[in-house]
Order: sequence, then C-alpha cells, then structure tokens
Amino acid sequence: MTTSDADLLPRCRGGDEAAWRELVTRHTRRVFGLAYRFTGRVDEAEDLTQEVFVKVYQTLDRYREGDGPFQGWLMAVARNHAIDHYRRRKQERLRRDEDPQVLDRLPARAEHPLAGLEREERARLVHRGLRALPPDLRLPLILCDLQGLPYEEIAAALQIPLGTVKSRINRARLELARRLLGRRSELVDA
Amino acid sequence: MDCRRAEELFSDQLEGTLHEILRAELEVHLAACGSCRPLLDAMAEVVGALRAYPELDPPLGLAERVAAAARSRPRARETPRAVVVRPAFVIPSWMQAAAAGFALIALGALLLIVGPEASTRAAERMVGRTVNAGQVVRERKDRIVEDVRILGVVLTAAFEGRLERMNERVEDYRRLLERRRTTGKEDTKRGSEAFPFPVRLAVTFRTGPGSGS
Repeated sequence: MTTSDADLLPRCRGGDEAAWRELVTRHTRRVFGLAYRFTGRVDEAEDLTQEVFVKVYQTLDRYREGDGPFQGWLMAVARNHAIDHYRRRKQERLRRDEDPQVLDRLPARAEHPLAGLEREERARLVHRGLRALPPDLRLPLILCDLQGLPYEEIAAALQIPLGTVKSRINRARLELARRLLGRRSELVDA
Repeated sequence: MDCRRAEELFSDQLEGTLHEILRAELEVHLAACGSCRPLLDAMAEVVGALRAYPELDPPLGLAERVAAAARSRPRARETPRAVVVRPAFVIPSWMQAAAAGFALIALGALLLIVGPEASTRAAERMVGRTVNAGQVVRERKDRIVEDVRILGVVLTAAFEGRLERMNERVEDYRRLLERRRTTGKEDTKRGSEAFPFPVRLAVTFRTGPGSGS
C-alpha cells in the first residue's frame, strides 16, 4: 500500500529521515521538470531543484492540509522560487549557451523520417528562440505554454496586469513565429 | 484591419477566445493578406512545439542528494505565540506615587545622618552612574538611527520596484497611444475602408439608450 503525502508530512515534520526521502523522491521529477523548463540547463535545474526542496523542508510547518494538496503547494513554492531565480540570473543567463542535452532528448515518434527531421528542426529553432527572447517576454511564455498556467495565475505570479500578460505572450509567440518563418525562407533560398 | 492589429489578435484566435465580430474581421484580413496567414500558421506551430517541450528525467541520485542537502539545514519552526504574563494584582498609581515620595524623604534623611563625606562619595557614584546611563542612551540612539537608515533603504528599494513596474505601464500606454495615432492616420488616409467595424455595427453602437436625446 502506498503511503500518501498526508501520511508522510507529519513524520517529516517530526524529523523522520526516511519519510522525507520518500517525499522528495516522489516529487523530484516534477520539480526538476519545472526547473529545467525555466533554466533550459540540466546543471542549473539540479541546483534549482535542490534550492526548492531546501526551502520546502525549512518551511514545512507553514503548509496546512486545509490549503489543498501538498503537491499544489510544493509546485507553487517551486514556481515562485524559479521566477525569483530567473529574475536574479537573467543577465547571467543571456550570456550562457544553450544546453545541448535537450536537443538530443526530443521524444521519438513513429513518423516519416523527413517529418521527424522537420519536427526536430522546429523544436531546435523554438528552443533557441525561447532562450533569445528578452526576459519580460520569456517568463510569461514559459508559464503559459510550458507550464500551462492560466493567464490570471501568470498575472498573479509575475505581479503584472492581465492585459500585459496577454500582450507579452502574444508578442513572444510572434517573435518565435517570425524566427521560424525566417529560417524556412533561408533554407528555401539556399 | 491592418497587419499590426491582426497580429495582436493571433493568440486569441489560436485559443478560440476571439469575439466573433473580430474573428470575422480577422478572417477577411487573412484572406486578403499574403504575410499574415503564414505568420499565424507559424505561430500555431510554435505553440505546438512549446507545449511538446521535452520532459527530462532527473539525473540519477538527484532525489537522494536533494533530500540530504535539505536535511542538513535547520528547519524553521513556527514562532510560538508570545505568552503575556500579567501580575496577580496591580498597584494603584496613588500608592506608587506615595512610595516614590517616601523613598525620596528616606534618602534625604539618610544623607543627613551619614554626613558630608559619605554624601560626596554617594554623589560621585551617582555622577558615575549618570555618565554610564548617558553612554547607554547614546548607543541606543545610534542603533535607532542605523535602523531608520536601513528601513529607508528597504522602503526606497520597494518604491523603486513599484516605480519600475509603473514605468512599464507608462511604456505600454505610450506604445498603445503611438499605435492608435498610427492607426488613426492610416484610417484617415484610407477613408471608410479602414473603419474598424462594419457600418451596420457602428450604427448599432451609436443608437444606445441616451443617443436619441
């Protein structure tokens, strides 16, 4: 029988090491996924995941079961931390190269080889374009299209008006679409 | 509808949240414009690619490392509620004043009894203690000044944060005005063709409850 988060939490608060390890193992994949989508780099995502769990462990007493499932609270903590991290490091990030690992990990599909190549090429372009976007456009786009958050939650998380969130997401998508079209026209010309 | 206005509606169009009037206008524009349709299609591809962003497995051993790292830091416990200890009974103020007066009289009487030499030593001690108390007060004042200075820095930082966001809003508004001005000029040049709504609709809008007067 699987132990629920609600069963593990009191044990974690009481200092039970095994319970804490179980809780972390259970949620690491999800938090790491979020961190990776924000940072675009495995090494940074690892650091960010660690920071999130350190923060969660230190503030376990603040979580109340009445506030909703633990996973929701954990992901909200992770998202807020990732936003802070992103804002702190945005200048440093702009100078760093993209992570080559993601380009090798695109999910394989049963499709025509040419279609597969085109999809991979498109994913590469979008990934590079995403990293090249200015932070004020990139952050709402990550939260919307990579994290699947509704506009209202993005506005609350970033503390900007709803209209600004929508216009920034639209501008970011347009920017990436133009890059895609530009690349295609280069290929046609070549 | 011009290309810029059409582009502003692309996300709503893809998400299916565009009002039917605007959607009809956009479709008219897309049918006539050679560059907007490919751009909209490319945007749909971009959104698809973003949503299919690869999910990575965490590196081996990450959960163990993370769990151990978190446990190595002290955990913040909830601050216990402050317990206010109240005295069993409160001495009335008149009794406190009377006690203070009695203490002063007793002190004067004591000085008269022990003589001038002893009173000089007592006075020296009193001066010494007063100087010490003065130093303590000065240190506390310095601390308060330091706290006020830090508070000022924090408030300034918070204010600047707000100011930055306000500047963004101003910038957005400025761009909007600029766009409206540009659109207005284009509309003037194009005449009735560029009117943002069909004439029938515009008439409907003008015939509101108060328009007859």
